[in-house]
Amino acid sequence: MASEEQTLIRRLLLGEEAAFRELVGQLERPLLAFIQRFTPEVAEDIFQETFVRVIRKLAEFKPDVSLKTWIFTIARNLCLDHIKMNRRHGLVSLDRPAREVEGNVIPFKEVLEAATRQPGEAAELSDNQRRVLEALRTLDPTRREALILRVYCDLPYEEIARITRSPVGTCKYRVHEALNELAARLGGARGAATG
Amino acid sequence: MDCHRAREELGGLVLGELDVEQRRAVEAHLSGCPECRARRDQVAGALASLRSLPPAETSEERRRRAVAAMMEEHRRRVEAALRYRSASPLRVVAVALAALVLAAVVTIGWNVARGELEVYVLRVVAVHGTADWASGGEWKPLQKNDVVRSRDRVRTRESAMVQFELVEGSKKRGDLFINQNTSMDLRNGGRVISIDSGELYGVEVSAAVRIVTPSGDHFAPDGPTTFEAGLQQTYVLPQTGAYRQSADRRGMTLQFTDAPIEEVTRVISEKTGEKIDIDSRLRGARICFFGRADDPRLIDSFSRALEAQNLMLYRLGERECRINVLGQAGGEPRLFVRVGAGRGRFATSRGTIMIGAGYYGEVDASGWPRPRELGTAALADWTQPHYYSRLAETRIRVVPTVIRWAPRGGTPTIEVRVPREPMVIPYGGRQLVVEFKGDLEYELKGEGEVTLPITMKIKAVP
Repeated sequence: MASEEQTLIRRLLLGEEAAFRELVGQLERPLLAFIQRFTPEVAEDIFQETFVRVIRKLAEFKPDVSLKTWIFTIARNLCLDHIKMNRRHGLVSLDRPAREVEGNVIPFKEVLEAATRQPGEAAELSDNQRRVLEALRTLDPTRREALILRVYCDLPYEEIARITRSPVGTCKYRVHEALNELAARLGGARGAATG
Repeated sequence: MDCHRAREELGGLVLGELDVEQRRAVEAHLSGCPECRARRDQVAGALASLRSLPPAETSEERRRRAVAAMMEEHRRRVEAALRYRSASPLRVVAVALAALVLAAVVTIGWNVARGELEVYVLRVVAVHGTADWASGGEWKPLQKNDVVRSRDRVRTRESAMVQFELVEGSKKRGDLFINQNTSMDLRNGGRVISIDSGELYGVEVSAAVRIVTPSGDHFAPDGPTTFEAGLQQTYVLPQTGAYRQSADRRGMTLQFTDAPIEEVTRVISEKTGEKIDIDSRLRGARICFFGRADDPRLIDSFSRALEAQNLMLYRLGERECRINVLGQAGGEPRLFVRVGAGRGRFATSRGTIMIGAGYYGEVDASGWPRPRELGTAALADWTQPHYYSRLAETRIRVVPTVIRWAPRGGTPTIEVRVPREPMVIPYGGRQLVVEFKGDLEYELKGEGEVTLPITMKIKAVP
């Protein structure tokens, strides 16, 4: 673990407000982007709750992953919890996944279906951006998650692998394939629009 | 490379993730394949479009709310820890400064190995005299119920003593005493107790060897045997009564007159099965245990003792135990319990003997010991527990004193040789030079005991 990160963790453990600010400032943009793609309607709440969990759980943090990765994992779990809770309460209309996934793995298709439903967003977007979001939404969920983490959140594959609990090679493949699919969809849409 | 393979690599290509060889292969294919080039442009366009999406907007208000929520969570955690501590049914054993240092050194090692971090939160239980603390830069008076955290600094003034309780940062909870004039630096994770900057004064150091042979000729090894000296560990027992402090400063001892100490010693005797010899003129409540600093069993015992939160449950082993009570001028009285000659299997056919070694001295406001404050009475007998912290702190983990014995005309003889060359110990950008004096040659005649003083002189050089 980098010594700067270790120092930051120690300061966080000590309750140093400046350290809290530093951490939130560092992660605000990528983390919010990530959360917004999953649970846009409660992105702000989950963003805040993520940092509360960080303080609550920091003593248990094991530095075999980076702090950033660990925090993204917390955020991801919170997003999944929210989706699951909503599903249980029937608040979200879901496409059933093509196949049930065992264990802790969540049917991300459901999660990611919500990715483009950001309130207020549509009005501010250009036509092209809307097309991109639409194309993004139709991607395979796991590929889309990997793509978001890579392109939006700028995380290295090793960290994406830890967050998504998938092999690095798989993550890389998902990102590349997602990009290929996105290109095909955007190309097709563009072709249809122009043709 | 065919088209299918090339298209698989397009994502990696536009993201700049291919290695040189892969990139060349793909580009070589693209140069001759207009369809794939067009596809490459599409993928690059898709990436550009993706990146053109507006990034999440930053918001001062969002950050402020998140930080406030974090502060609140942290406050809750600390308060919960304090409540937990207050509700503890047992008044926890006070842990001597020296013991904390020892535990600190060891535990840091463990924690580093496990990759964990330790942070301390200490609450001030009592302040006798005047002490200051600094959280950040400015010093301010330390008061009861102040909460001191790692990286803060605490400084006690002359004749002052502070009692802390450890409320967070370790699964083990206990009280912590800081002796008068000792400065404790809670930085570095709160584990390392260091002394303020200042000059190191020359200080006389004493060590002693005592050998007890319970029955006859136990010292009969096949040949010469070499031993390394061990160090001491100090624990503090909880005060069991209101002891009145004597004004007697001679020898830095205090008189014990109140009854509760009898109870303390009775319980110790009962729990340990040790014979306890009390000088009832003295009073106090510190238990001093001799042992090796690097002995994992010792550390383990120490941990268990802390977990039990009652040092009376501490297993002293099957050795002679003697209580001697010492105190410090202006400080809380202490009860010292000295146990045998150390952790080693002394007086056995293998004849392991440990030597307690260290130095004794008060420290001034700079944190360094001063010779003028040495107490002769304290040096006369066994070495005193105070030096343990200093030794641990200055990393004199094991004093390389050598003991040899061999039968000579039927009578085992013990020779103690202290190092001829000074030890040079790096410390805080300086060096501590430690010189020893005090060889001994001693004939064992059945059961007996010998005490020998070893003089150690420490100087700091730039």
